Amino acid sequence: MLPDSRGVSRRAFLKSAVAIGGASALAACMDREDADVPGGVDDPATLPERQHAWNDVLSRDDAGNALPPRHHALVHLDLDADGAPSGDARESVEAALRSLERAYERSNDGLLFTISYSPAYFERFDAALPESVDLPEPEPLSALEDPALDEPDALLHLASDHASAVLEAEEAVHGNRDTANGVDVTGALTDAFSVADRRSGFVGEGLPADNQDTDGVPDSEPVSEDAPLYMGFKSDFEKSQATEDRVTIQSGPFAGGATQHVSHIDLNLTQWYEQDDRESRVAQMFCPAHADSGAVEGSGENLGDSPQLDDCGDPVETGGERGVVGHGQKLQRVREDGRPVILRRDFDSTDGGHAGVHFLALQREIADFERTREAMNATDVSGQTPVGRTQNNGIRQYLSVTHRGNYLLPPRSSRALPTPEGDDA
Amino acid sequence: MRKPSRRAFLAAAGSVGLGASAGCLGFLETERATREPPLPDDRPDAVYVPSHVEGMEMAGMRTQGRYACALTYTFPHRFWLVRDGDTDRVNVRGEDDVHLMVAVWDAETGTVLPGASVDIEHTGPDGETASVTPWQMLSQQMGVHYGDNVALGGEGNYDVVVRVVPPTTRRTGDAPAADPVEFDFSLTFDRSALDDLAFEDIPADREGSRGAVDPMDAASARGSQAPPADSFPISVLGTAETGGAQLVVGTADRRGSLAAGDDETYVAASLRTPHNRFVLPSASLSATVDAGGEQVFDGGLVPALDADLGYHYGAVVPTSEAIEAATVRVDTPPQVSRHEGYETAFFEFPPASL
Repeated sequence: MLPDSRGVSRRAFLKSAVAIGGASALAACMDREDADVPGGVDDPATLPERQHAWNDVLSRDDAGNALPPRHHALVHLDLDADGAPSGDARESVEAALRSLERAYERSNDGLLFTISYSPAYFERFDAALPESVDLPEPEPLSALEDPALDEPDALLHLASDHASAVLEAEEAVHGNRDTANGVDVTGALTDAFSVADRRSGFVGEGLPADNQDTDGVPDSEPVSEDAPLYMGFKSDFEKSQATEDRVTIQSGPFAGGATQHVSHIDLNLTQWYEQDDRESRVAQMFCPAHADSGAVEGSGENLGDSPQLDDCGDPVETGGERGVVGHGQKLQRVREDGRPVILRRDFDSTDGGHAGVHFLALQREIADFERTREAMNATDVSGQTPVGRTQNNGIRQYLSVTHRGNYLLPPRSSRALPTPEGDDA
Repeated sequence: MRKPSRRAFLAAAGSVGLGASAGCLGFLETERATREPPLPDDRPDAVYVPSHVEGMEMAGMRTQGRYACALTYTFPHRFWLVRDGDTDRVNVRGEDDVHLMVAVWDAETGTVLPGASVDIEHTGPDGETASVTPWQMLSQQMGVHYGDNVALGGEGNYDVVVRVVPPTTRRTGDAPAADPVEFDFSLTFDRSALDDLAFEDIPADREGSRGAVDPMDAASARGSQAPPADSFPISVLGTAETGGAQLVVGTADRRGSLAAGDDETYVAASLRTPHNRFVLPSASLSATVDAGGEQVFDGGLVPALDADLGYHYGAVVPTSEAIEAATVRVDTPPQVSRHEGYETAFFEFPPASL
């Protein structure tokens, strides 16, 4: 049920519409948003082979950092039929996706989307995935977590700066609309799939503040208006992201694709905002040296295109000397050519009525994600210094992983129900 | 004689409050953060007697294999987070309902277990579930435990699940499995009953003076106590006072599985609070050790658990000669949150030569 829209601020209303989803949310949202969403291409075959090539079509901030689309939906899809999917199913899926490409400009102002497939999906086939694809089953990635392991066949990620575009595209692929953004829709994902779950979220200045009336955030409304994420700091600096090239699979039938890890993390920010002071928050999010020098102003916009963690020092050394180690400082250890090996496209959420993060990361191999997560666990730091396994160990104290899932994001040409050999229709 | 209750304290504080600030009706209703006596003036940079002593209620005690867990609660109160050498005072918020405390110890040895990872999930009478990850804390009554002020919600019965991931601290003896364990409790949240808990307002001439209130008779407090120097289970090299803490350093040919080689000696440094002898966990210690007329060790002391020594910091030193001297340094103060009376101590540690 939609809340009565009267008296609700426009932005808060749009956000809650995506969280609610469905036709009635869309209808109300379109009335409110009244956005002029740019249309797509006549010939989708002209679009990039990499589904995840978003950076060229995203907005940039003054420092040149790519700004993620503001509204997101993650649709979990299970195939209706057992065994290997049929050619008909494949055609419907491809038609539905092409409809979106004709309906919306491929940008944050239009619609960005990807479709990806789980290890469970590939078990439908006799053949195994090639060695060029590293896609293990999801598993807990620390001794302290006990996540539910997501295994839908496929995952559709929809993203746009316009809540109405996300909702409308979702309705279209569910077969509930004849047109999307004024363009005729053919085929539907629901010709082949059923929706197993739906998750949603947001990222960008103002949205976390607008959505802070939720469990996990204290009642004092501590999330500032300029914060792009609930924890109050910017995190998607250009230099703290892998390049799209680095996360792209280089060879084999899925060359041009990537792997995707999606976890859901509950945030418990009462201690973060009501007990820790700002200096502690900076020390834990970045590093103690940043707290000492006052390097971070506000949400960290002043840092430009890099969190500037080079001078933070070795985490084990800092942990031993200071008893606390920063989140960014720990992750600094997993770098190649000065850049991380994962590309984060994470966003916050109120799913389940609780503040959370859908932590979506792209990387060439799931192993890249796992070693990044290992660096965040920092068992070497907690094992050799007074830093605890959660306490004073970056931001681990405030995070609780509830779900994990691994997916293969095939290149565009084999995105519709691919076989393990990468064959499309 | 029956101990005075918190209700009696609040009533007294209320009448004083009204007399002192007429027109401030409703003061206690809206400013629950003030429902504690003020901090003593001129707190010393040492362990001191706090402004008051609180009663507490035990929700239960459970054992699962090698691990034991107790859940207790009392009214919310101020405490101090510790990061590096700084404290960060946490005041009671209006919405805080209780101070929840979890104690975890080795059921076989009785030794308290610092460094566990603890999560408390509570489900209230309205069916709403929330969770809290408590801080590792030190209090004069409880010793080492995990606690936080918590906003519960409506009064009534709460189901509480405490999930403990045991620490991976080095052990001198056999190491039990460190798989996560869950303990189920229930507690009744009743504001009126909380106000009936014992509450002793310590007189002005005693509060703030060097000293400590006695530990309570509870497994967590007993399990937090290091053995006295005069009955230390291994040969004592020396004792010292540093940073307001007591240090007892002992040596042994071997200790359990450690220093089992012929040319090895185990050196154990037990850092504990004065008065109550509570172990001080999550510090960083290093030492130089001399034997046979030369320095045989210069390095870090690793946190370790031992059935008799309890939590201590130790090193395997490569010598079979008698240890003649040691200098112990506390490089990082104990990173443990503090209840009142401990927040000014254990920060500046001159090296201790023994």
